[in-house]
Amino acid sequence: MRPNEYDDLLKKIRCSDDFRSRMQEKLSAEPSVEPEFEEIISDRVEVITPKRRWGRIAAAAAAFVIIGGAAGGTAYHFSKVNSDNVITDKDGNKFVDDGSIYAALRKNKDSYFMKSLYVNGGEVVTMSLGDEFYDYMDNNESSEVSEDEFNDSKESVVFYFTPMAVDDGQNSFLLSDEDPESYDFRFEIYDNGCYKWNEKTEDSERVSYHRFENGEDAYNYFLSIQLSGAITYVLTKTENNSLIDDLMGSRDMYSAYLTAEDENNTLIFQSLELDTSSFFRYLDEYTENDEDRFKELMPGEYQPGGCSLTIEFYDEEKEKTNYSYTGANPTYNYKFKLYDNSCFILTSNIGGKERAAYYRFETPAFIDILSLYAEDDIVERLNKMGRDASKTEILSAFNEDYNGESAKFRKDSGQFTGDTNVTVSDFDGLKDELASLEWVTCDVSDENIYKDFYIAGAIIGRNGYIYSQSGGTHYFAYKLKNDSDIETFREILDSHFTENSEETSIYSKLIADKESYTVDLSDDIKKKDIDKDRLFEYLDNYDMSSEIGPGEFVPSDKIITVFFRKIGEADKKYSYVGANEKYAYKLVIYDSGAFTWTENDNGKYKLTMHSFADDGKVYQDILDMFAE
Amino acid sequence: MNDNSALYAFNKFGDTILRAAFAMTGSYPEAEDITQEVFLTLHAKPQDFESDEHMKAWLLRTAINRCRNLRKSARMRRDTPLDEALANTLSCEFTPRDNEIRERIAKLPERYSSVIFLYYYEEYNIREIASILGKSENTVSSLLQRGRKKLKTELEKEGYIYET
Repeated sequence: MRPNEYDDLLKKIRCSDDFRSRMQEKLSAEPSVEPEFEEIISDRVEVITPKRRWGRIAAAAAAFVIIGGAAGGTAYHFSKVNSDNVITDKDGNKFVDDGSIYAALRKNKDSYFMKSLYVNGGEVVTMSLGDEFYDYMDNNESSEVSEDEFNDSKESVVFYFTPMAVDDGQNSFLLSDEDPESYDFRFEIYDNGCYKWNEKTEDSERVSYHRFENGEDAYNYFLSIQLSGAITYVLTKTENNSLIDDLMGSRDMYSAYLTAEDENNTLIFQSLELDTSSFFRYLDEYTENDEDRFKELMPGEYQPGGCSLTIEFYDEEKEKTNYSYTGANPTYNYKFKLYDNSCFILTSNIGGKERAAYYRFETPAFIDILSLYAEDDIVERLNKMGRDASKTEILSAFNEDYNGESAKFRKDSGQFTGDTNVTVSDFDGLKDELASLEWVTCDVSDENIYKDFYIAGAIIGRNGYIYSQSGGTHYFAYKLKNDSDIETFREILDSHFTENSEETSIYSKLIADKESYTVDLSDDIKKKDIDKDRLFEYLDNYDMSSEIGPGEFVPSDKIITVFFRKIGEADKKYSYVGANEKYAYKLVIYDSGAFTWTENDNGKYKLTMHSFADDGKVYQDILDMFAE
Repeated sequence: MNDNSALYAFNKFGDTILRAAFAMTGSYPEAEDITQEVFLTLHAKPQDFESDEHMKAWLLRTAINRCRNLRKSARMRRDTPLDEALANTLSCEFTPRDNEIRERIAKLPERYSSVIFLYYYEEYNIREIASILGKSENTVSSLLQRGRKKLKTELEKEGYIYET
């Protein structure tokens, strides 16, 4: 159909001559009085001026009178109207502030949400600003009546008015945790047009009873507001909901069972009466900070993997057939099938209607979820190494708390020789480039992971490995799928990691400004005159910067302590044991070959550990040079 | 504006409201009933309109609400064939093609048909439609998209090619 065919058809629709004639006649006559209104006024005399929206109020102020019949009962809405209590709101709409409950709400309508609870096979709670509600209330006649005169009936529509908690500019949105029946103001209208107001304050409650003159119409109007909101909610919620949202939203409705198969579709594990709380908790945590984290895959993006686990959700009340893996299974309402590459298909079968959607976890969800239910040996059995890792998995391998600015590099040829500080450039670019290579899963115990590696949010081994440090237990690491990519891999690392220069070591700082310092040995050594140039010349023959870890540091009882103090510093008196030592740098040399540097930066101490690996030669040389 | 009266409104927008009701119901008799109700309501309860456009928006919204309520009361007979006698009195002629389109429109859920009518026929924009229907702009956009898609799907089932 072309759009102009739609237009052409509608253009043909016109009022027939007969219809037009009838309508003109009716609209030229006085409007007919509503039957309900005649009943109400049967025993009263009423003078009603022409009703117009604002004009009605002004005219009523002058001439509107109801002569009440029942004693103490009949109140009148407009008798309190006068020019002083007519309020114009910020939108230019007028209403009467007559001390009524409605007036109390109306004065502050912009501070309230209007809630409605619609129940029809399921609760729908909607909220809006209530513009349609106020519009009707401001522009339609009603009378206050006594409780005795008030008649409720079977059907009613209720609106609750609660203070605004959120200002997001939307007209309607779904309540989550609030009690849908909490309120400051409550409006309930029955299908005969009678309605009542309840108002709650901290100290008191009040109620008033009223009746619309056009009873059924008024009820239908408010009913349409409620239904319209419910329809909008249902439309936008269910049609916008993905299948995974539907499943998560109906978690308490179904029983479930789980099966897990290896890459040959051989059943390895099953759990017939599955406690799904752990499964849904996993999904909740997965979407905790991002409700839209599940994104449907396009058909071409979905790739079933090797091993899989399936959870089928079925109606608990439905009679279960005897479950057998190869036999008849209960008809499922939802079927969740997850592969070990984190892709999954979710199928629903509700009311005879089938839907399917494809997703992919960004986490190694297959192992994560399987681990919730199966023993470790089953998990290990199905945790196949060598499967392709997705780009998303590689990107997700890095700890989200890592700042991406500095890293450590550990060069390890079987023996730890120390960490080097490394500067990282464009960490996001680094991750993208690494993820663009092809990776497969590998065993975390692979020793090659820990040879020449960076610690940068993940362990990145220069031999082609990534071991996730993104939290939780990781059952596998990743290695380059293709050996031919190793050079490219290293080039990527080299372009993003820069080892920090030696100037940043404690010795480097000292050397850079060595003329500013005096040199002293500890008191317990009898000293010759110390020639600091000679000392520095000697130390320059050794690597004074490369650090070792505590596990490699081997102290001993025999030490030499060398103090470097700023020239001109006062009070050089000190006692070696336990006293304040005023120094800028301290070098402690052990006869085991180990040594330490300590930097004193205005009371802030930094210590690094090192080793000459010389069996005490330097210790002895220093003694020979400077001790008597 | 010239006149707030219902007679003025009917003379100016009677056909518009009739078309709107027809677009949502697919039934000419029902569309007449709704049109009558809308203008008689205005006649009984005059409104103070700022402009003719304001009046038109109010009339459309009232008509749409009434169509909605009628459907819920199950008084609607969407697929009622056009009464021959009635058809003869209309100042138009329905071709078989017109009836096919009419049936397709009538099968659309009301929430789509109202938005499609307001958008394509009355040429309101999304914001204006949202104001008339009392919905958010996002909802209207979504309804329009789905309505078009649904209409297209229904027609394609019948072998029609939906041309944009």
